[in-house]
Amino acid sequence: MTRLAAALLAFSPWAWGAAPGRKPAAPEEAVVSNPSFEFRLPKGWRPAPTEDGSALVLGQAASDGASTFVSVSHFPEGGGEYKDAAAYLARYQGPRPVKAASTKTGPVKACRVGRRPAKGFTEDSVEFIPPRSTDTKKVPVREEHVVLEHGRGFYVLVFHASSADFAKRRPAFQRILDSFQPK
Amino acid sequence: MNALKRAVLSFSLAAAVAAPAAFLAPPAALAESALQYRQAILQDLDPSSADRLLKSDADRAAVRAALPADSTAIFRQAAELKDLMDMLGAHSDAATLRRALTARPAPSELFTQPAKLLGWTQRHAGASYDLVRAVVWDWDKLTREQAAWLSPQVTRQAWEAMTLPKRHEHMRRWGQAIHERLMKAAPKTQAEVDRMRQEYAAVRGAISHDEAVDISRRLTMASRSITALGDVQSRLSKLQDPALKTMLDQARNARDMETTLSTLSKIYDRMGVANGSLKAVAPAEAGQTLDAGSRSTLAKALGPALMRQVRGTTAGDDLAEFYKTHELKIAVAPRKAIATYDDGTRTITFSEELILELVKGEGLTVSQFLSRGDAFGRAAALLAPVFTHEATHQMQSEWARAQKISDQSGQHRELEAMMVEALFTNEKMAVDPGFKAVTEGAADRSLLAAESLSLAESLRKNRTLFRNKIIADHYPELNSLEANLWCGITFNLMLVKELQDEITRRRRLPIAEQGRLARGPPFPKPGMTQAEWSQALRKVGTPFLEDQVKRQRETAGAKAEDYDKSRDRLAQADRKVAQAMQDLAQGKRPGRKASGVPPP
Repeated sequence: MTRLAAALLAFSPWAWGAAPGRKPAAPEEAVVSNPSFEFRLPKGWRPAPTEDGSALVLGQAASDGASTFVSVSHFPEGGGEYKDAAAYLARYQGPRPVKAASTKTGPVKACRVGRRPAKGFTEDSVEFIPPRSTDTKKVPVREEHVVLEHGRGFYVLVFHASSADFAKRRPAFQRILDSFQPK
Repeated sequence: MNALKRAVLSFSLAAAVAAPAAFLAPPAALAESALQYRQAILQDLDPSSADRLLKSDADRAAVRAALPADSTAIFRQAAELKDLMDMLGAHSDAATLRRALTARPAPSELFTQPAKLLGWTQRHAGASYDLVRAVVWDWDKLTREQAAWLSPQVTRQAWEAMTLPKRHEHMRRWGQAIHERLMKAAPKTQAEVDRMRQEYAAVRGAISHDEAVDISRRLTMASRSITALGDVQSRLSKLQDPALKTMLDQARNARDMETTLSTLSKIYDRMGVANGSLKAVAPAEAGQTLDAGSRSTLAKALGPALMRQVRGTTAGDDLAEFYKTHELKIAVAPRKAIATYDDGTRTITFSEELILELVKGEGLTVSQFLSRGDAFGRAAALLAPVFTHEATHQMQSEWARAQKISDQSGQHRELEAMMVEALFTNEKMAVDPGFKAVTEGAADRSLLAAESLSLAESLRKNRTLFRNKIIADHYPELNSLEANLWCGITFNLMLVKELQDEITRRRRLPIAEQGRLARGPPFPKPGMTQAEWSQALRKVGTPFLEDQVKRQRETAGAKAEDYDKSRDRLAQADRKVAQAMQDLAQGKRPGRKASGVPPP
């Protein structure tokens, strides 16, 4: 078994099942993979279970309580919510049925996922911490959305972190972008 | 095809054929699979096998058939492992994960023995190892302040042998000392507020949720008073008003925060400047408190106003149908949560503080608020999303009663209610311009409005993240569906052991005594306290003890069926919400769907 395959077994127990009792090998190299894509997991980050074919990896929460994560979704052609990558970008750039006044979306800019050209934008909003309390606080958060067209569909990688921590945590997202491989 | 793709493909195929194979396999293969599950779950504590067993009705039937004596213990352990794995997948913050771990009501070595939990994490969820070290208050993960506070009382060796609840008890004492100090603090500068905020962040994981809310509320008051002090100072520099300047000095030099806030509030009134955000946290002015009469008037007016607000949405149509045969009872009372549903009285209660915040934010007295339709209507619009949430709890409880399953609270119920609420906001924003204007207009001063928008958008963006947020941030201390299963079975099996111990004890008594106890009375009543149960155990007739062993075993076995029903209800709610969100994206008008979650 290759090192990479051993790592895959260790990190994807929800994507496919091992036979009862089979123990995952110790991870030698952290890779998150599913049938649509794979990427390397930054040190200190953790994969979370998902059931919809997307991937979610968690970083350490910020001291202000805001969550840190990267989500990766694949939208195959004709797959439902978005017709294509342009529709995804337009949804965020145009008027939305639900959008708080404090949510500010930046313009679309060219960027890269590994060596592939992509498009991205940032969005500033707030998280409510603790939620649903008579004393909730608004904590500013920033998201970076990167949209990669590939084959007949497209991929969206979203990095979410506290605005105060965004720059410090951004290199982890860059590692994910650099290692991202669509399938 | 590269090695990576081959590895993925071969395992995907293995998973895809697993379920049909279980139906078709000969009995010997099913028994073999059951034995593998027993080994994987009870011995290896393997979470992947646990997850697969809980998801596969066929595999569970196989385990039940092949291993009748062990099947309840296997399901219990599987649920515990899935519960733990789901927690690790949802939480990023040590403080909330610790709250979740320590809130489970049944004893479990995995949840309470730090060394066991760390060993398991290393084997099965290695990437979470560091986080779990912080969660169990690992000695090397303590801050310098925490270690300095602990060292006179506990050695490292003693600490390492301690259970998580014991360690947490120590750290709570450390946290409570800081809580006490912060609750007396009255910071007057931004730097002091920032220091207080840092201390709060450091202590948050060691204090209770309510204590955290207390400090956080104090921080809000401090922060708003400092912003207002700066604002008033700047406004007064352009005015020649000695009386107002004297009041500003009084606000600045006040010994407690409440006096600062009420003085600032009066300054704004005299300047004729609205400041809803300050007034919302300032002490109540004349006419801004509730008594029994105004609480009752408010509650009576809220019911019809809320039903009008929700009309024409998926949730609204479901509720209109539901309340044709059930009573809608609304109350207003002091609450830390913004609203609650109490199944004992079947009442939805809104927090008095929340209502008063809306009243104060409008700059009105309670009676003005009640008589002015526009202000009351705006409040009803802001409360409508939360109303759909609490009313969903009422529907869930009635459904559980009809299904004859115990109505346990838990994250599954909250997740469904949150989805209903977020869907409601999405639909209402799309179809009701008045609601949209009120909610968007209030978002800057009302956290209730801002949070409704955020929740609605979060549902639309990513449902996995939405789910994780509900589990980790909103309700970490509530049981998951799996926790209800494993904790419930644990209690049943504990009772079985106590009953069996008593039966064994009796068998060793003299024959005459055994005869006397055999003629003892039945158990006095259902729903006994622990003390009543222990007393009854020694007195009831032996045949009743033996009957109770059987009943408790049956109840433990039936818990898996309750789990299935609740899991299926949640899955149905999830599909319904997904469909409604898709319909909304395609511009269809919202309303009741034929595929609705089953009404009671």
